[in-house]
Amino acid sequence: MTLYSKMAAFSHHDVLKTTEPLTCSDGVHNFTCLLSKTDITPVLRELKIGVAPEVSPVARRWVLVLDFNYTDGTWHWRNVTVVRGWELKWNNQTTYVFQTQIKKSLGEMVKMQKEVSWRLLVEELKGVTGVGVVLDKIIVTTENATAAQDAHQKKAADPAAAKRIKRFIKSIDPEVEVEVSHGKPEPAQSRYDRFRPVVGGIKIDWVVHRPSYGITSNCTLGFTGVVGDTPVVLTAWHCIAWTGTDRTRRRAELYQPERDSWNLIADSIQATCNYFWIFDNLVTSCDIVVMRSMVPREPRVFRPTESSTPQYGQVVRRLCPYDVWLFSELAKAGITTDVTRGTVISHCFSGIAIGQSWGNLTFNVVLLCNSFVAGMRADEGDSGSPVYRFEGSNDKLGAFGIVSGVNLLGTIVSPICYLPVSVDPTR
Amino acid sequence: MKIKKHLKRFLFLLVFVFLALPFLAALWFCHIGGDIVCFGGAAEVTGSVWGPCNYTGTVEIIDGPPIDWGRGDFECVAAGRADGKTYAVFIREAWADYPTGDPFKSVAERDLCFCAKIWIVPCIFIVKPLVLIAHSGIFVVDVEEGVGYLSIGYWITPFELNHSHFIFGGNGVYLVDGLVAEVGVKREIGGPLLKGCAYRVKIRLEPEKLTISQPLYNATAKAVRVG
Repeated sequence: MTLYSKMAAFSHHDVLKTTEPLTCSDGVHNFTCLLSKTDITPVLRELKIGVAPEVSPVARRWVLVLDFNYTDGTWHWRNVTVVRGWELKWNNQTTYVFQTQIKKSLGEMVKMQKEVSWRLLVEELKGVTGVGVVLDKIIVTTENATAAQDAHQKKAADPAAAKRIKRFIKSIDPEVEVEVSHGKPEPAQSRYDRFRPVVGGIKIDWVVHRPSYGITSNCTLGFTGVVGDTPVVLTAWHCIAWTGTDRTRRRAELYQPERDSWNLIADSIQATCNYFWIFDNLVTSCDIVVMRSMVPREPRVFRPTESSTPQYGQVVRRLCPYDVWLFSELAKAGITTDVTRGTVISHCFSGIAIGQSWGNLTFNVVLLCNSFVAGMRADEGDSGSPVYRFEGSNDKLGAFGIVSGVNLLGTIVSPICYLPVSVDPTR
Repeated sequence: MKIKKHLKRFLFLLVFVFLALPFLAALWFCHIGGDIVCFGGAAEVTGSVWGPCNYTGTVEIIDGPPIDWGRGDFECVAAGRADGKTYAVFIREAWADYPTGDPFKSVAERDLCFCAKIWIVPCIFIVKPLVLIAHSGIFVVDVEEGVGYLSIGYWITPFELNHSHFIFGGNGVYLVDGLVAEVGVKREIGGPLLKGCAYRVKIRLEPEKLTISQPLYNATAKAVRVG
């Protein structure tokens, strides 16, 4: 670990009041520096566990900090007035800390970003496609744009939308600087792409922080929806190794499409299926986990048919087992075997999944009375896939359940009606 | 009477085959193979942590064990010198699934191995969850000799491994213990993990395309040897 990354980690968690490490310059040489709200004393106090750098004062009145203008897409040097400066040396590494009049430290900006992201992306304003922090600025991208004069010209954020966003953020914190630029995600081409808003039938990565080590798994996102007014996403419970019971309490994180800090879409469990433990067996009513969504979502499924059109199917109703008659057809959209169809042959099929593990705990899972769909092909990675019925046309879907597993005879599907909370997958 | 005797023999043979088949199938499907070398368990190690490396060539394993490699390719995470030799550490995602949790051979072979071990009939009725679990293939290459040591880091992804987790010590390369719960290899799918062991394989590497860094700092830590 480098000296400045250690400081950045402290600052990220608001222990230190510095910025993240920045590319700085004295006009001749480039170097790494951090801008600080405080003098060096708290920095040295926090660093003393494991790191004891040599410190010497630096006589400097200003420093240039490399900054990016998102509106016109250009880099520029920002001149920052320095109150006091220090040079820190440790393990052949040199870092500079400059006390300046910054409005917000990294930790304060991260907190701010979380609150603003949540309110902008999930609760409040339409058209916002991204929120980030750079230095002491919040960068917001919106899909609302002015018309470009030609195809090569970069579109600018619509002034009315920009004004609305700035006013909104200033109502949360009047001090923070806000930059609004145009940014519209490219349309997704495959289930492995990054989707915002998230929809059903796309690739997700799970990370569970189990005792002493973690687990990472690949699955498919099932449906999105709401529980009451809480936005949620659904997938298979076993994808998080049955985390969330009284014997398996840990934090689970859901990323889309893959594990990376900016791809986190959910990190708190809203609900799981009913369960009880009997000896080393987890007996459960279904194999679904409901996670609280942290990003925009839409009640749709990506490419619900075998062809590339329609691009999305809209979920128009929720189906319970006896809304779907025996021997009727259901389809699923998964990341490995794509869209496959099968015939419902039972609404009360019980099965056992053996050899499940969680930390040092090894157990079997007994899945009670779920639906069984013959002929529906599914493979590794398809767990969590949305299972639906076409409601009159290819772009209207009735949400039925989540792919749990297979045996040699067909696919086991957990109906979303078996959840102990009422999920509305149409909102 | 004679027919009855033959029928009895036939039924006996049928039962024998039915009983013996899983054992034969298990031998066939579960065997992994590979030349296994063991370095011992975790120990207190002193050495150097080297900086990140860069490799733009291809890594080819010759006659290695059958690993179910996941996304991407081998990525060089650390390279440095130990015991007068140059070592490079490559990481790659390896995929496993339930119920075996092992990243060897194909999904079908793993399933057949599992079924053979627990008997065919109950296997038909078992629900198989369709999740892909990511483990790490940790591949330490002796650059000059063209030999590599491949082990599996269970329950950890390449995302969590970087140069700072490897110590270049007196005898070879060590992975800091505590990061990986179980590092080692197996002789058969579903078999016991041989901790502190690796598959010794021949490799084809392009040394001129490897850029190594420099030692960053000295470290003393409890670690397991991986190459």
